[in-house]
Amino acid sequence: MIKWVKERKARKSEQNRESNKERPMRPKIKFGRSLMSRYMLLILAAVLFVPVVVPVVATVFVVIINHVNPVEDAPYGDSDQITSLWAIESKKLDGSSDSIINARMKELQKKYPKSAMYRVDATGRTTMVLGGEGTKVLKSRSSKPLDMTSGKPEAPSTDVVLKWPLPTGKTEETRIPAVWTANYTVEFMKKANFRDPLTIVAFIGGGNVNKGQGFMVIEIPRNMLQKSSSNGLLEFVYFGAVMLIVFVIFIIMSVLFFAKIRKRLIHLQSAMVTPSKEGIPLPVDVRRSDEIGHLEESFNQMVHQLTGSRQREREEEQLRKRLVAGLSHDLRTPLTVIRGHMHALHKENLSEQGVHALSRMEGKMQDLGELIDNMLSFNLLASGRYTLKLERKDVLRMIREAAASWYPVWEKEEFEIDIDLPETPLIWDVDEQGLRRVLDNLFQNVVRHAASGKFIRISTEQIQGQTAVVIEDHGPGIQPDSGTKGTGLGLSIVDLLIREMGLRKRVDSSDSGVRTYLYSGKDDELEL
Amino acid sequence: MKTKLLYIEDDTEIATWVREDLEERGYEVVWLGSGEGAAEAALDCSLVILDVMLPGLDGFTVGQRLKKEHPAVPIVMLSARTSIDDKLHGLDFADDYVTKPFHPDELAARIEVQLRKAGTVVSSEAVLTLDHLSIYEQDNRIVNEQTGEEIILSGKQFHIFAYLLRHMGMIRTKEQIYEAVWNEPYLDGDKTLMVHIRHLREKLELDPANPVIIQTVRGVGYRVKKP
Repeated sequence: MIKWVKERKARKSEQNRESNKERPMRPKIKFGRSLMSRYMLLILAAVLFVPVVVPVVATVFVVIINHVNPVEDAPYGDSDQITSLWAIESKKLDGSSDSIINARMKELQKKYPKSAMYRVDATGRTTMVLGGEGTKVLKSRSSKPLDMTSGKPEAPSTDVVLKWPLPTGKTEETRIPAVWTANYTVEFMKKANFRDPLTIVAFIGGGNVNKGQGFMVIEIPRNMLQKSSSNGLLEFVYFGAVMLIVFVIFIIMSVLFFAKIRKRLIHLQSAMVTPSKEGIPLPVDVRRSDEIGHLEESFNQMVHQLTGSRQREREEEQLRKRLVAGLSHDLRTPLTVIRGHMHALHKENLSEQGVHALSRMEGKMQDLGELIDNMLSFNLLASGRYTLKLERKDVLRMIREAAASWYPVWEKEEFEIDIDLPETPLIWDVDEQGLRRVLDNLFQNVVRHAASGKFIRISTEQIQGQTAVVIEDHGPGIQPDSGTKGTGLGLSIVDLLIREMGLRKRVDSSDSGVRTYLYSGKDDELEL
Repeated sequence: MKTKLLYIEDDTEIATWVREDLEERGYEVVWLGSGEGAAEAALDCSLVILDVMLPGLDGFTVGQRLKKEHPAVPIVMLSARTSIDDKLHGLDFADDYVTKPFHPDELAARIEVQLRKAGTVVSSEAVLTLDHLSIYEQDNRIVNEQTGEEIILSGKQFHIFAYLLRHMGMIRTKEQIYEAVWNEPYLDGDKTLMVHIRHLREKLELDPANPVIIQTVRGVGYRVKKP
């Protein structure tokens, strides 16, 4: 029970925390609709139930007992009834003569045949003993039983002993002295209350008040009376059972209450972690406007805001993409025209200087075109609009193909070309166009920044158990300020693409050249 | 007869010099400012050069229609749209995609490749001379000028040599050659191609140990150098 109370408290405090958490966000919760109030109602019902249930159970129990226990079980009523009856009878006999008293007592004895009665007069002498059915009346100094069945009143001159057979099998003796001494009377009265048989003493004429006319005693076996003591246990069991049922009902209600809350919370949580195809969770249905309902509403608002911003983002993305594409196109068109005119110039008779200037211009034109290309790519890549299709591909083959297309350029620049790639394929998860772009930009960089080294080597090397592709040049190394050579857009694209494809790049730069290592970020990328 | 090309381009300035340049190279150029009437104009043309940004129908749509009506006519896209998406979209139907700004030589080379692929005789060079070899592309004849003998190649040898000739000056990896000639994916460690090239060299080269016609580019592949 204590554990349960603790649990309840824990739940309650949990509940409080939840409601506290939400309160700053949504101060307006109608109390009648809040979970808090519902929980309070539940607790209140449980607490109020105890004072209600106890009397109700007791009442119901008494009613049931009174119906279930027929009168035969307690033919003489309960002890209170007998006590008051005895007091009334004794009062009625006020001032009566002995014979009248005796007669009345005999009448009463007939009414209650299983009881024993005796009378003691004012002087303390036992004047009459009426043994009931089932009792043995013995004279203490003789074993000869008195013949009490005849009903003849007798004033015993010796002590009389009443023997009561008890339901337990024992016998209880009542010793009725011929003459009642003060000591014996006190002893008798001390025992009277707790005995079986029930012993009731009343003063003749006064009930509980001594009128100096002696007293009369009635003894009734307790099994003839209502079994109050033995019924108590049964009652307790019944009562306990009912209380238990009440508590079980309360626990079940409590558990259901929390199970419902839990279910709704889990529902909300699962809604949060299952994103739609947009990557944003779908809104949930708000069924009740309590704390969790408000939480769900807030969640929905958040989802709507997210969706809205995603929408805006997409529109901006689209706009940017269009803008860049348009810009690129608009830049390229005049470039094409310039290129054309330059080509026309070529055919003219130019001085050596003119030819030289023209070829420089053509080179720059090429760079400008590439820059525009890179700008567009970077824009798309950085905004995540460049969708990569990762496939398991032989990287070495792609490197060979890329190198093949760059070979003439390198030859033109009079590079020493050393391509040393193994025959066995190297399988990585890559996007073909993406990797091609990475390689093109890296090779381009070599031509642009390391042409003075006149050297390029493409090979593979083992790094941390992985095969890395190494592109090596003998240029001056990466300069802190590349100055006029460009914005580094090409390398930014390389880095972005490499990250997107889950690859790794490492660059060792020194005065004598740059070594660029490319390797897979995954561990399972060993050679197959 | 001159080879006729259809050139669709809305920018007059670019169109003018491209046209002039191509005409100088011995082509007859039909120029259209938009996709209108392209299908009719393409009827007697050997190749179509197509811009993407056109008034009215865009180049992609025009190209797709042209390809449907004249599947045999190669299309070279010539565009300032350089994104991968555009390129892939273009290459769905077009045979090549050249981005602006381009070098006129590059455009001419690509046109030549496409024409050769399509089987159209390249007007200017009916006979190709490579060192001691004279190659008559029209009737697939190779003559060793030193001895005057014709060199007979087996089917695969001829295919390999033709493929390298088509991409003259460019290096092709062994995977590319294998897949183009055999039409099936290259398997790692397959020596078939090497064997064929060895036999090919034995027939073509004066000194097969030091080949000059079919060069080996170490670590990359093979090429036939431009004369």
